[in-house]
Amino acid sequence: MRSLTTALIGFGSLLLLIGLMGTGAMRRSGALYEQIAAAQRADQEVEAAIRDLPADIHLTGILVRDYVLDPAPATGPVYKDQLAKEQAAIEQQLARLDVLTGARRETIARLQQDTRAYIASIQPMLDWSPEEKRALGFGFIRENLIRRRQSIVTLTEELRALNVQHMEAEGRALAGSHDAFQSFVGTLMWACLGLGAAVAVLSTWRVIVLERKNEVERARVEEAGREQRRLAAKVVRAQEEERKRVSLELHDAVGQMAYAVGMELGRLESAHTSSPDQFGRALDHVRRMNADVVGAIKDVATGLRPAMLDDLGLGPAIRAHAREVSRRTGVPIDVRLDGEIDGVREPHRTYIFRIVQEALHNCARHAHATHVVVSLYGRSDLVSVAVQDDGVGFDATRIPTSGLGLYGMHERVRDLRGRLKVTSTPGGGTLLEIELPLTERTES
Amino acid sequence: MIRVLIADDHGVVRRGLRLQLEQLAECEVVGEAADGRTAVRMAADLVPDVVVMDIAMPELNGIEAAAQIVKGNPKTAVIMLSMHSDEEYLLRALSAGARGYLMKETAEMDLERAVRAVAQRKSFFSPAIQAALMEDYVRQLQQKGLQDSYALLTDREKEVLQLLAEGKSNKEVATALACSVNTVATHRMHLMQKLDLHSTAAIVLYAVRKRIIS
Repeated sequence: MRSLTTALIGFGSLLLLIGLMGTGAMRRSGALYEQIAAAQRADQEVEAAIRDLPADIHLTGILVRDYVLDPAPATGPVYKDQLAKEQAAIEQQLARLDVLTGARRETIARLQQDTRAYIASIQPMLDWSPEEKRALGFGFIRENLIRRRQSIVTLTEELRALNVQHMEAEGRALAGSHDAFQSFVGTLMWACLGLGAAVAVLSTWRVIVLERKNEVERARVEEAGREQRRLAAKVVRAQEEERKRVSLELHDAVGQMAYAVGMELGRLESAHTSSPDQFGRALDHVRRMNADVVGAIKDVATGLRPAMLDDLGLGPAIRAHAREVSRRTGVPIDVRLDGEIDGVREPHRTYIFRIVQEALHNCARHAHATHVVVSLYGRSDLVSVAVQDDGVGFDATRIPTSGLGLYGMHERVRDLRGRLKVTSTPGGGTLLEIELPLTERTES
Repeated sequence: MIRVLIADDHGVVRRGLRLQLEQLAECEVVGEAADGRTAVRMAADLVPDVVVMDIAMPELNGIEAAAQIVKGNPKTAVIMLSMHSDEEYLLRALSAGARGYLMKETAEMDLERAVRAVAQRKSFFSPAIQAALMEDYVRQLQQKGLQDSYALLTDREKEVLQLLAEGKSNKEVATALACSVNTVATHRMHLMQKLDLHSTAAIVLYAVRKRIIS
């Protein structure tokens, strides 16, 4: 969940940044293109105006000269018409220059003023008579027209120079814009790279962590599987050994004894002719042997499962078992029963009996105890069992795993959703505590 | 005539018991039951004097059946048959109201005496179980470093103990000893305190163990 959030935030912001970079670059490059196009358009207009204006001015000069040289009388209106056309063309060129701004504006104003003054100065001359033309014509051209024209051409040149200057400034501005664009794209790109690297590092790290965790988990599962198999094998072996033991007991003890009874019966057959006293003794002997056979069978059966557990219930079975262990080992065992012990049903009854059996077995076999107390307390919803000895104890943090006993207890308790606790210190005796909930009790 | 009901889930055992009882002139076997529930029902129908009953039986075990039979008719005496010599069985059988306890392995020898004894409202316990109980008792006393507290009883208390263990009520004991019921109750309380006994069944068990009764 945490890695999902991290991945979403990381990759999300990376994509956002890439998107930002794309649209930003597009927008900025569009603006830059507009800027360049506008500059180019203005430049072309100005260039065209500057190129065409002197030509138009020259044309008017030629027109005036033609008019002066033209010997035919009353041609004024024709040239006037021509001049008007030229004037319109010149006005058009001047209007083109209106787009210009800045330092060039002043030069343009002067250029427009001079040009219009030049055109205006031509007008009166077209109303001249032929005599006036001859007398004043060339003088007018020389003193007035050429001078004015020269001024216009100079202004045009000046404007051209200004325009070049402006173009250069414009170029610099464009270069600036381009630099800004580049740095914008560069910054975003570095940000993307940085964030991408961060996301990559984070995800790689996360993958490594998860992989390691997975590895540990796998090892643990494998170990648990091995342990399970080891214990299962042990259970199978224990079962086989138990069968072997029971078989041996049946064969060696019970079988041999029954065989002996048979032989005694044979002897009895031959003894029935002897004195009643002798016969009676022989009969008694057989009877005692038969009682021994019954006793041996009972011992085997009780070893497998105590009948008392079914006949009388948990409390008597535990008391009897404790007495039996006590008789065998010489260790006094106190059994304290409180509450509703005999109401405990299967499977709890058998499980608790087996657990106590195992605990007493441990006390007798490993603990070298001199006194053992078994306490059972039964409630309608819970049974608690405690087995306390004063034996040698062991390190409870290192519960011996070699034996099946404690494993079996754990399994039984877990099967009934109970709790098992072993408290022991070397030399300090051992306390085994178990609590089993009796949820299934009403079902039996 | 002693009317006897036999209850055991094994046909062989029932047949053996019947053969043995039918050899006795004063005995009549009035019925056989193969499980505890049937035994309770037949006891109610036939009202026998004595029921000889196995402890381990299907449906209802012998101890539960004994309790119901005695409750239904206190005059019916129950003899428990058992494989087990453990005091837990004996104590439970006594609590259920059984008057006799026979070990199966020696039943053949003790059956006649047992039936006659309980028919006369006495108790009977197999010598085999008495031996087992005594051995257990002595060992427990040794382990706990205790003395047998029987010596602490007065002669009167010993008499009361024996009569109670034989199955007599306080009133019957009072009649036998020619004293008041209150006196018997006092003796009874004292002896129970001295011997650390907590029920009538425990008194009988103690007496059986000490071979005060048989």
